[in-house]
Amino acid sequence: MRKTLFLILFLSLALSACASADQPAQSVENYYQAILDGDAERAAALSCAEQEANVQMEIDSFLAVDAALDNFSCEQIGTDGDMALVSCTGKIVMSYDGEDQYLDLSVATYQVLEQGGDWLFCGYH
Amino acid sequence: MRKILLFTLSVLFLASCQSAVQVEPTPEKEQATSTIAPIETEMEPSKAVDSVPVPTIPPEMVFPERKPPEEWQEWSITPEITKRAFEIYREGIALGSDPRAFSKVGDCQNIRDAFLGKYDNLTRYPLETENEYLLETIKNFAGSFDTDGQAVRGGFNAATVLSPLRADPEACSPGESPLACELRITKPSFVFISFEVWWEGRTVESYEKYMRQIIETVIAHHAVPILATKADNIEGDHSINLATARLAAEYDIPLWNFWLAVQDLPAHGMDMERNDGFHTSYEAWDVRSLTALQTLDYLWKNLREETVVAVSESETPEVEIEIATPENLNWDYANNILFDLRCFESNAECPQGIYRLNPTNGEVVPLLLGEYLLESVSPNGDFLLLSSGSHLFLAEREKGQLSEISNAFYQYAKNATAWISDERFVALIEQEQAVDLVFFSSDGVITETWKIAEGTPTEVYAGRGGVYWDVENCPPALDCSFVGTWGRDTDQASARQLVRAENLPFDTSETNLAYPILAADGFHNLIFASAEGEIIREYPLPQGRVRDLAWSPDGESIALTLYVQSSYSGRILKIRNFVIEMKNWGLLEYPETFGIAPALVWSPSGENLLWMGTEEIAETEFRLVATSLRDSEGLDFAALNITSPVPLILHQAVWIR
Repeated sequence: MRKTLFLILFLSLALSACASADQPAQSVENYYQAILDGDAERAAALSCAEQEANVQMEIDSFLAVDAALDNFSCEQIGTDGDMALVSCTGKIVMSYDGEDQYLDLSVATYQVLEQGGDWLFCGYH
Repeated sequence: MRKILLFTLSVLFLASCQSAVQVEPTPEKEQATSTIAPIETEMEPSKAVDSVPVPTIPPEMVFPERKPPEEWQEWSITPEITKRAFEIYREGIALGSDPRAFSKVGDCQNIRDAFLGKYDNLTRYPLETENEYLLETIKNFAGSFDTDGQAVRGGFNAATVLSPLRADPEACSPGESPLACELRITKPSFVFISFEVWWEGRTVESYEKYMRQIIETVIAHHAVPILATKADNIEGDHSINLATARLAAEYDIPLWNFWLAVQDLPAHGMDMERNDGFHTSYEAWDVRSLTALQTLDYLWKNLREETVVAVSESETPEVEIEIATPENLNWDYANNILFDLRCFESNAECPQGIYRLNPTNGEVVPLLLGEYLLESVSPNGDFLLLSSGSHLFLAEREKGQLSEISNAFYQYAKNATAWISDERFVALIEQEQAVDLVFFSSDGVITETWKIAEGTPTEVYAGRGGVYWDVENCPPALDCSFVGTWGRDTDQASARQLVRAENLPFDTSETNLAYPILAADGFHNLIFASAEGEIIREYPLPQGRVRDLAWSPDGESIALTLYVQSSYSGRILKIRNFVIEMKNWGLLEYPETFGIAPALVWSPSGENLLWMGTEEIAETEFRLVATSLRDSEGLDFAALNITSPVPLILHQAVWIR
């Protein structure tokens, strides 16, 4: 019995860690993909209330370039209050009139908020 | 019990590892506890201005009323001072805006290469005499011209500069938009705001919505926004310019009417080569920079308090050419490359003399210093034509003496003389308020004169027995416009016009002609034509624009140097070099080169091909460079000893037998 309880406790902790580490990171990845896809509905659904107000502007900001994510992946690196903090690697490659520009996504730390079971992209830390 | 535990475990597992991609909209999202509002910059927005005295408007200051926005096409190019601009400027200076800094906010038409950058490089781009009154403003805002800052990039639009996602993370704080970042770093007193680029889905409403945010952000940071009309009308009804004028009127801020400034230019300033309805011509770039500078000059001089900005009198940059000079001139130039150089000083070309380059050791020796240029060399190399202003001289190698053969030489052409044979040449000579083709014998005696009825001959070329000339229409005090190219055998009375619509490089071999034409894709193809002008072939070239052409001595090959330019900035990305072999139409590519005003020079045997130009090695240091493209003889030109603080332009280069 004690063995079983220990096992349950261990697995619960491990799975809980898995949840908090993966979901915020994936939320950031999905948010950026939705922005570059020009999918305002999806990006808004992945945003906290404050960020939601910026979604259309961020989509519009890419309208004059061809943009794609390059080797973009994120991981949770900690928390700040009720915000999960996420760090990413990779960049956005933007092609404008035959010339490439790059936006390094590894410099910023991103905030993700859990609301109602959803992890929502909430700007920059 | 174990089952319950397993069930609990399963629930936990499923709950924790459910997909994070849950995109069902949350009906009402709670407000996050931490802010993601745009980063506050060091200078507080204008709501905090209460402690600053309201600027007193001098009684002599008047603010003329503008025509309604619907009549924006009649608004002046340089805007009048507005009351709001006065208030913003004076408040800004009191609150710490930099009276010596301005910013640019915009798209690719505002990058420093195309917009204003040249005013931080006056040694390279001297002001025209009539614009020297702008020097005080240039000096005051030195450093602001040749920078893009954080709010100008190719591909930016009005939404981009507001989006924190698009800010340079190396320079800007997290959550800071490119605009806020630029305003924080520069603290400008003026901000040019200009978004021309059109994209699918752009509407006047969205443009206006984002422009309002930009204007209000700039005003909140105590800088005077300067709006601009655009040259194009890609939307079809000028609705963007109208919206811009409405915003200028509503916010009572200056509008620089660039649209009006280009109405007198060909195609109203649009680039008809790219013909995309958006890009403006290079000529329009200059007008755009100049009228923007005039706008800044007018606003700043009328808004400033004299005590705020004291600008010291600037010194005109002194230009001094440093040339290693041997003690004695040397006329022994057999198997040497003869070339001449010009510089630019006070917006005028300044001849810098004639030199010879020894290809075996790379040594450069002056042949004739002073204000002389090399015009052409007879095929056998025994005679040189040299010029100094409107004076044309003939020099014979054996004698080493100059004899003046005309004091009315047409000095504005790259090719104003051409040798028909070793005994005869033609030159462009001004007489009786016209330019004629005047033929001379090799002892300088006039043998014939051709009057040109179609306009002003501005370039002349010669092949075997045939002479070709470009004609331009040159009304007084206006730039010339290209009319066409004509050719005529020297033993025939009538001339024939070639199929040639643009003033691009042109070269003749003994039997053929070659010249580029602009293809539908905006790049050059090469036309091969017979001596009579009949087109033999239109040869497709790699994407680029031909800068120089040179037939090999045997006429079996032609070398060309091709500029590959950025289509939005015009910046030269690389220079590619090719040779086309006539026998099989093969295209051979040689190493890329880089430099200003390149020239291709064949050796007399055709075994070697030299690329010459000048290279910028520092902002005020230029040097002559030469590269052997066909390095069959192991030539080394690494140590050419000519440098200059201003750009040097190669005018002519000939490899003598």
